[in-house]
Amino acid sequence: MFTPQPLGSKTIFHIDYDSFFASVEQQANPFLRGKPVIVTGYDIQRGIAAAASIQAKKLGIKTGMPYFKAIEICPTLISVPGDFTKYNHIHKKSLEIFSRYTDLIEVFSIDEAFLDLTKTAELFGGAGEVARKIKQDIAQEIGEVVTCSIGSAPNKLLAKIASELKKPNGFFEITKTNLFEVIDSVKLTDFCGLGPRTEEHLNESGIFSLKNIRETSYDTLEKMFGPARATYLKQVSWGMGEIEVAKLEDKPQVKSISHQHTLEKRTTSMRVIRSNLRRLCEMVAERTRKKGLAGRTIFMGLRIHKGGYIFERTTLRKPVNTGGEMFKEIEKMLKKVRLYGEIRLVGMGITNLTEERNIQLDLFEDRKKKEKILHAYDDINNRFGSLTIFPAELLKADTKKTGAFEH
Amino acid sequence: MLNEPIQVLALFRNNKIIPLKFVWNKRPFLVDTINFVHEVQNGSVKTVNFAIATKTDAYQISFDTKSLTWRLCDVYTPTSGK
Repeated sequence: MFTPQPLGSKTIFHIDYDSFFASVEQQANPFLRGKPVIVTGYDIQRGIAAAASIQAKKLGIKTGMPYFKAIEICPTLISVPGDFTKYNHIHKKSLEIFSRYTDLIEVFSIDEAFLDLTKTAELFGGAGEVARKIKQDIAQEIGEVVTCSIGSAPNKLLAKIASELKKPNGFFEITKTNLFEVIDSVKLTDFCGLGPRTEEHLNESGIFSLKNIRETSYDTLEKMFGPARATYLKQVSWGMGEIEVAKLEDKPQVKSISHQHTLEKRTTSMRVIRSNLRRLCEMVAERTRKKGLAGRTIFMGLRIHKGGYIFERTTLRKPVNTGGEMFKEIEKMLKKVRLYGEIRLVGMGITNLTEERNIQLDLFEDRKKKEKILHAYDDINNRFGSLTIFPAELLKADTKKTGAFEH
Repeated sequence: MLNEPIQVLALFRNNKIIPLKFVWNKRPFLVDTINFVHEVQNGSVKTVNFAIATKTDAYQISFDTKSLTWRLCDVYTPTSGK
């Protein structure tokens, strides 16, 4: 049984930067403006488009498309290696701008955020005026080429849909008045949580839009998808969604810390794979310690050039947070692995995290001495930059930057 | 990527650094536009990077806030990227 609830009266913004990485590069380099540009990893030829400029998108180039495919579509395509120092800087600057209008800001990704303006929008002249002011601040303080699209609605689900409706550099508001007109015209897969499989399943039963879902009985949907999914579909079809926007300081607890690295050359050499993983262990360990954490599960991934992924994980009895300890487990995993092709990307990480102070003291281990060494090691790296001091095993590792992830 | 020392005439005002002119290989370049500014923290050293343009060209220069030195990092051209 499902009873639709009326839309609340909240004012929630979803702010989404347009072609974020690409427009930042166009902002920095005026020669890229107005041109089809993609942002890739360091190895452009073997990389994928991490972002495509508005001009590249118009030609059909999409985020995630391999470089060789993108260049087939547009032979004059310009690719630039991504520079996360720029993107992180803008992310921080954006949060500073948003916080002028509300303290309820929830970061969704590096280029997306939800803002709850229910109590503050009127102070600035209403939702439309806040959107205009935020865009103006971004243009003045970040740059005119970096634009964002803003969606306003009574909940997060609808705000996210609204921000997609007038891209690029638009503002769209979903209200009680236009709700059904808008959501009934949007593709099912545009809604969070509705993937191609669900769409296919719905289509097989003659359901092609949210209007069709509203008209279908809950019991029918329950038979098709089970109670939880049926309830979710019904909620979406009535435009119901989450209304809570977390405060910026209520950051979700980190669940895992990982690094991955695209190798400078594809390889089957275990020596190269090993030394790169050793370096990643050091980087993950450094970040884990900086957060005062330690973890019990170590995982490792190797991407095969011609397709496929080797994934291994192991869970330890007690949490660890040093590169040496992590690598000891990685080495055991590497011994089990059978390479069936050249490797182009290596990655590792730690999960099952706990506070560092919860590490139990070992009767036979000189923890104090180890901690002293680690503190000295971290002090040097904090002062002079990451991996200024490193284990000798890393001498053969690639030196370029790697992607870092936190979940 | 270049990493060459340069001399810069800059204005430090209201917590902002505004490069006005730089000299590279004895040639002066007048800064026409500052397109983008971003800061990078590497250990205890903060560098401020400026994507700037003269009337004809574009460059990235950086200021090391610890050593108080300037460097030319990149020259942007119409074919920047690959």
